[in-house]
Amino acid sequence: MTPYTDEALLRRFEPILHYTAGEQFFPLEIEPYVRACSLWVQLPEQDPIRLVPEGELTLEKLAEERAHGFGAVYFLRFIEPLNIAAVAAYALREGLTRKDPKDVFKAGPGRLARVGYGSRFVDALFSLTLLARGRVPGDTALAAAKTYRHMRAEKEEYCYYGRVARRDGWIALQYWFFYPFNNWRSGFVGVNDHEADWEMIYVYLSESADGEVRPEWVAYASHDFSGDDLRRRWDDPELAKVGEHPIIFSGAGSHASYYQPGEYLAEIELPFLSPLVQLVDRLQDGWRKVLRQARGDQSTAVSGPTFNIFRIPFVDYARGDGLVIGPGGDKEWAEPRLLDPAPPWAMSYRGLWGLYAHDPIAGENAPAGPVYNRNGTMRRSWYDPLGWAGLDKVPPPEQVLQRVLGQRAEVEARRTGLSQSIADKSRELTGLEVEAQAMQGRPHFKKLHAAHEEKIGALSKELNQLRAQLTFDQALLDALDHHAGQLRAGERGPLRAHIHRAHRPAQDTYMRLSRFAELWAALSIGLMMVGFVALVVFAPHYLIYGLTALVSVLIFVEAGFRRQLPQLVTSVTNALAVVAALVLLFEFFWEIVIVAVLVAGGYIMWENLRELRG
Amino acid sequence: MSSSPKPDSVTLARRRTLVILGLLLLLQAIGLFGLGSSYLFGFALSASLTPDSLILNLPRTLFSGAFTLLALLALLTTISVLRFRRLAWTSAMAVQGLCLLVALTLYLRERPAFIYFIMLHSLFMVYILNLSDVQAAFRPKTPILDPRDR
Repeated sequence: MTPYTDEALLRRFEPILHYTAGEQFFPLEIEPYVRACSLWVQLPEQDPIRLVPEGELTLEKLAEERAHGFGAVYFLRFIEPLNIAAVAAYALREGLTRKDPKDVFKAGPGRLARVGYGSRFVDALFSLTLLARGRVPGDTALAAAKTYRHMRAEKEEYCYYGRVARRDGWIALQYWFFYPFNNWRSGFVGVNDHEADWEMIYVYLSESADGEVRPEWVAYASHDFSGDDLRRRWDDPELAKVGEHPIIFSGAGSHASYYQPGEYLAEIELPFLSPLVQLVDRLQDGWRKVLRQARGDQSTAVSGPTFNIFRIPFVDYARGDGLVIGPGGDKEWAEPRLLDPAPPWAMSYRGLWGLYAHDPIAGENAPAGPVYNRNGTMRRSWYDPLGWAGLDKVPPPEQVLQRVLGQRAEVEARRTGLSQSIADKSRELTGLEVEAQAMQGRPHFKKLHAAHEEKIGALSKELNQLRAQLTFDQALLDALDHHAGQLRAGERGPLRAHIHRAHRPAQDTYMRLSRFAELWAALSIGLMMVGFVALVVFAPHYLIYGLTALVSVLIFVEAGFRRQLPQLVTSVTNALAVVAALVLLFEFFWEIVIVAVLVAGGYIMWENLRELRG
Repeated sequence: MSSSPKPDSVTLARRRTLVILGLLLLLQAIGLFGLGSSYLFGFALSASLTPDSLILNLPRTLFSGAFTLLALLALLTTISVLRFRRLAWTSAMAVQGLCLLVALTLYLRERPAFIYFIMLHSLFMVYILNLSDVQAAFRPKTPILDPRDR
């Protein structure tokens, strides 16, 4: 058993958080936040009811049992939106204040310039849905920043919540960071804003017989990723660290965690576009696997995630050029707050930790606490620390060799049993065959002979399966021996074989887009709409031709800006090929059927003749 | 005496792929040139070939010119394919795209029988060009991979 206390373990491996310049919210203790909140309940088809007013709410009160029936949503309310005068005064004061460069965010190349027309059109639709969906009011982020600044001025402290879970030989250190606000949309052109934000990472340790612990894996919670893809081995060069402290590059406003600094293109899928997203995914899959066609043009040598135009692209800025919190950083962590044993506020309060915005897509609704999901069910990251990052199938290093040898013994035992079984059944089979031969040609054995033949067939099939299993087990034994040898030699296997889809910052080619490309990306969809109206008004007779020409010109200009003319040529040619194929099918349907039948017939004859010759 | 290194099977396969592609493109170039000429020649038989008559039959003149230009482009592409130029693949794709565009335009106008052959040949070429092996033949032999990739 390790001599370290839970707190000592948490402190020893506590992460270092690198923020992006311009980040306004940092991890804080929940108590002052809760004190600044009011508690509400939303009942179906009713106005929200305030249960505890602002200033009276404590962690104890938050943990009290409440039962308002099915459909009730409990939520906190941190911010009352500012009035227009307060907004103007705050904005003016902020504008006049000379700021540290670490407090200033410059967007740089925007997400629109990094994606194509289809995605930009879907993005325009998404922006329009914000008018219809529930969302956090526009001035809430400003008010939250103002309130948070006051809280920070009263007591500047940066803290995390920690938990140590021991499972299957692993020690999982869970670090939770609570932010009073997520201003990704309003502050960094992202997907959503919401009050309160809980973010989390794990550090997984192994423990040797003498009680010493060693970091083996880390897993950072991030958008769009789950299971094995979240996890990195401690010696993976992608994982930045200082001594025993892993470094997290936090997304600006979103607070999502990344292993490397950069700008990440996150894709959001809207529920009502899901069927289209799946259709495009399947078509792309069929294009590659069934037709053996390559993805994109021939210059795309490096594989990567497939882009789907029906997912909405957003950039998550995790540049790491802002405030650094953690050992050796600009600010140090305060004493960790332990979540073990789980405090009543964490276990008993299943509601949201901020405003319930009635957003059906849920992006604008505040999250629940560290233990629960928004719908009140328990988070997997809480009840299954290993399975959440796909580590439940991986034994700790100290146990691997033992497990391999144990597995080998199991396979060996199975093999011995199989060999015995094969010998017995083989004897039975030959016995049956001998009997069947003896019965051959004797009329009174007709029925019995048929039954024997059936038994022989079934037994022969079973024997075949057993022999195949035996061969497979032999190969498996060889592989296990080889693996055990590698482990004895100190080899740990490939670093990243478990990762199916990795986080990857935007490539430099996309970052070097000119200002013209940026401007073009921002204006082109609008220009197309203006052009469409002009055609309808001034040249309605040439609408189709005009629109085709307009779209073609826009697309070619865009492709030129983005240095993607080869990809465009490929896409257009493929589309024309599909149209031409349909034309041919339409014009020569029966001829094509006849030729296909003739070709199939010819092929069968050829195969049969080859067999005859052989 | 030093002996030249023996080409490996991958290089030979790559060379064979490029030669087959080059031959198919050459065939296309010859066909297109023939079409361009016969299109104009057919017109010349029915009327005297003067600047005025060419302008009067502008669509026919344009299609004839387009076929001749495409033939020239296909020929240049053939040469660049046989000389292992990286841009040859894109150029070959562009030739197929243009051929299909012209054929589909003619399909919407007068539907001469030969456009179906153009479509068929271009379809076959697009399929061949999109094959992973063919695309791989145009990539540099030692691609620079991200060291973090498996």
